[in-house]
Amino acid sequence: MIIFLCAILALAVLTTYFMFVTSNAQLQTNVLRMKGSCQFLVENAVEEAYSRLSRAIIQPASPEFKWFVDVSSSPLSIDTPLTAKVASQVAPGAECSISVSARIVEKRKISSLGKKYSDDKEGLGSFELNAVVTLQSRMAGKTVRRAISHHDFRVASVVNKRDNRKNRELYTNNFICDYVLFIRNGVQEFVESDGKLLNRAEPLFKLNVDVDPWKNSKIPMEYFGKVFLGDRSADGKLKHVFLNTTDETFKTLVPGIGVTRIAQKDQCLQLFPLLEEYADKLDGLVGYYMGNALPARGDYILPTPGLFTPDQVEKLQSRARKLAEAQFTSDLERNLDPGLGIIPPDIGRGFSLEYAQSLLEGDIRQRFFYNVHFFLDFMHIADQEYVVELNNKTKHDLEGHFPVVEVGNPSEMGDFSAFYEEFPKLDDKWIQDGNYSLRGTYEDWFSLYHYDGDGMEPTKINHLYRGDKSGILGEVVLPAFYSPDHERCESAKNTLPLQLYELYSSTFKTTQAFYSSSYFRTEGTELILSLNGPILIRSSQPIILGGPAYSAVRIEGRGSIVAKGGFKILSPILKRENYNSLVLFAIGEGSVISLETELVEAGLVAVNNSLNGRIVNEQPVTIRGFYACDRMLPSWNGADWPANQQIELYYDPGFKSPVETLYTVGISRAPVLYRITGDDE
Amino acid sequence: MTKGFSLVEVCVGMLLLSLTLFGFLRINSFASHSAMDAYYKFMAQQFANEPIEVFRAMGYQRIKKLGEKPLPGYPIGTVDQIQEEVAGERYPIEAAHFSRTIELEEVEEGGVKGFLVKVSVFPSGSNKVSAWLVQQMVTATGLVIEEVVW
Repeated sequence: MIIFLCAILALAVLTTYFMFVTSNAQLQTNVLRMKGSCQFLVENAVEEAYSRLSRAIIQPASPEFKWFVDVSSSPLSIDTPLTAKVASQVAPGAECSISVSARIVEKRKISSLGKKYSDDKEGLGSFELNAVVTLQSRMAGKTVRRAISHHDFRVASVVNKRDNRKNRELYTNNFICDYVLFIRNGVQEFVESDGKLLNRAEPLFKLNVDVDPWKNSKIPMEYFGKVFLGDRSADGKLKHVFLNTTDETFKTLVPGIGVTRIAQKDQCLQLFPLLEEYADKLDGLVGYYMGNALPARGDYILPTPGLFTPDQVEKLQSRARKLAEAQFTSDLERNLDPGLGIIPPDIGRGFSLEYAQSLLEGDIRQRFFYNVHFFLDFMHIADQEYVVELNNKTKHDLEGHFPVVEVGNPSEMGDFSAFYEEFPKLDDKWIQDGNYSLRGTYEDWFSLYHYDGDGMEPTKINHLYRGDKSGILGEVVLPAFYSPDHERCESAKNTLPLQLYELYSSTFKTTQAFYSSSYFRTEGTELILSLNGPILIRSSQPIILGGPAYSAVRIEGRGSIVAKGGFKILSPILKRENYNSLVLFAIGEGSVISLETELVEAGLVAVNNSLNGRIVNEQPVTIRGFYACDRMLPSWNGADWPANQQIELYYDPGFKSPVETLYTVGISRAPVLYRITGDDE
Repeated sequence: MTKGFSLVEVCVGMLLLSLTLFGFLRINSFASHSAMDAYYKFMAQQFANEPIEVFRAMGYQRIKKLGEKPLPGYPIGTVDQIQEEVAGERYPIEAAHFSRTIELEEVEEGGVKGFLVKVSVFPSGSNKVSAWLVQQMVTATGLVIEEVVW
């Protein structure tokens, strides 16, 4: 009986245990389901947070963008409304709470090669996304899942702060974006072509330096792109180029270098001995030396035309031409064709130092004639009727203007041999007193970065001189270029842009891999190129953008493509919004950017260590961005620049920021650490 | 006189024993059912989770193109019975007793888009799975969020 009862009891216990275990298994299935849902949600929360961060960081005004750039120590809270919205469907019947925050784990401001980035905002680092999801239900209790995901991020500059009137002080990846036109080996090419490549009757470039082509408005000076045409020839002897100006641009670029000096009565009599016999009635007589500069080409329009009769103007112009011809000694100097159309004629600006400083960089010289004229002023003589009588007696128009020159035939303006004999004596005396000579001459030295010879140290070439060399208008900046180690280079030829390569957002080994990447997509007939920071393509094949299948390549975002094999542009490149920007860097050996389209809204850079990077166009092209290359032609063999290949160049003011550096922030999709943990109650 | 149980006592005892054993049997049966329900429910849940994992790995952009380029084994909007030969290769052999439907719904909130993936798994007609499962349908819902281009 006892045995029987014991058997019954054992059976009861086993059955109850079996019941307990199976019920528990059933419950566990629900709990596992809840845990699975919780895990889905926490993974979704991390993905949504990443997605929202990725969208936010392409807007520089967003708090997320600033959080990365400034390396904020405070965690960043990220809302995940989409995950919250679907939580009730993913885990029906459960109460759900979701929170996601991000924090910067670390940021490295020095590259793995020990190179310091251009400022303390640039760099590589990693950040953490931390998501916590809690589900609570009556059936399955409380489940908590935490996901931690670490991703790399980079902060790279796209436009480095630059005040046009000040120098850079260290290397930046994007220094070349400062310039609307940058010919790195321009001085050598200038020498090879005897100045003809830069000075042509039909200018190669039409520069619209102060026009914003998108807003159709004027660009403020601080947003100008600068012009740099090289800093020294291959042998180092020549350190300047000259750009012959037009009459109009002369007024804009060259400061008023006129001079007026007064000759008193006794000096007037010395110059005009025939007046001596009337000296007692000439009290109040003064003579004026009026010097002015005329551009070394063009129509020689005098700055003060009202002073001269048409006949006098014609003679002065003739004299100026003869003066130039007499002083030209080489082919390089003989070229009087206009230079690059740096300033459009209708600019309507007078000279200002700020304007010149904002536009030109390097020793870019202007050539002109310095003409001095003398005239007698009888207005202060008491007896004006006597002046008329005097003219009749001397048989000369004493109120006329006498050109004061070193060469040429003075008899053109009448017999004033005494004047031309006596004037040098007076002039020499003035020179001894420390004044600049008043004798007219041909000048080819005017430069914003004037230097007096080969021996002058570059650091001294920093003054803008007036025409009489006696007054300094103000200090101007010299071109300054740096190596990636932030050491000052002797020449622009010793450095290249984008050398701090670790800040690339992507690198591709082949062009095909790049074409297949998510940077490209198609919208209708347009090829869309979405960018966020610099991309490197290592292939030696050229990158082909556009083609017959596309009406345009449309740019979204901001960034650059660096291709060692150069580029072929087959369709117009257009920006989607004014804010967008693209720079194409061809920096490999033999790099060429070939333009087979008529409009490019991008910055173009073709430079390399061999100094042969070029931009080639077979048809006229409009570039709204900037143009930077090593040289314009592969070599100068006397051939002219091919016809109908003029380049109309606008600077995109988006490439200039005088007050702050503009960055891009990129975050990597692949996590470097991913972990999910949880608690269950 | 020999001491023993009367017939009545034996009958009552037998009745109590029968009732007790019947209770044990019921409990055992219930427990077995629970165990099998849990087993098949768990299996169904795995089948439901699988397409969600696959779609999440594929990403939003690929899902958008499922209309043009369907993914074999994961038809959208139709009842798909897990085939025996497939079941033998990729799943437990009993997977052939299940059918599955996958539905996609595009959702958007605050500028971020995604696909809500709803998967329902249920027995393929009357079979041993339908006999054991308490709830005849197991569902799972997941979200695939649009990735950013860069």
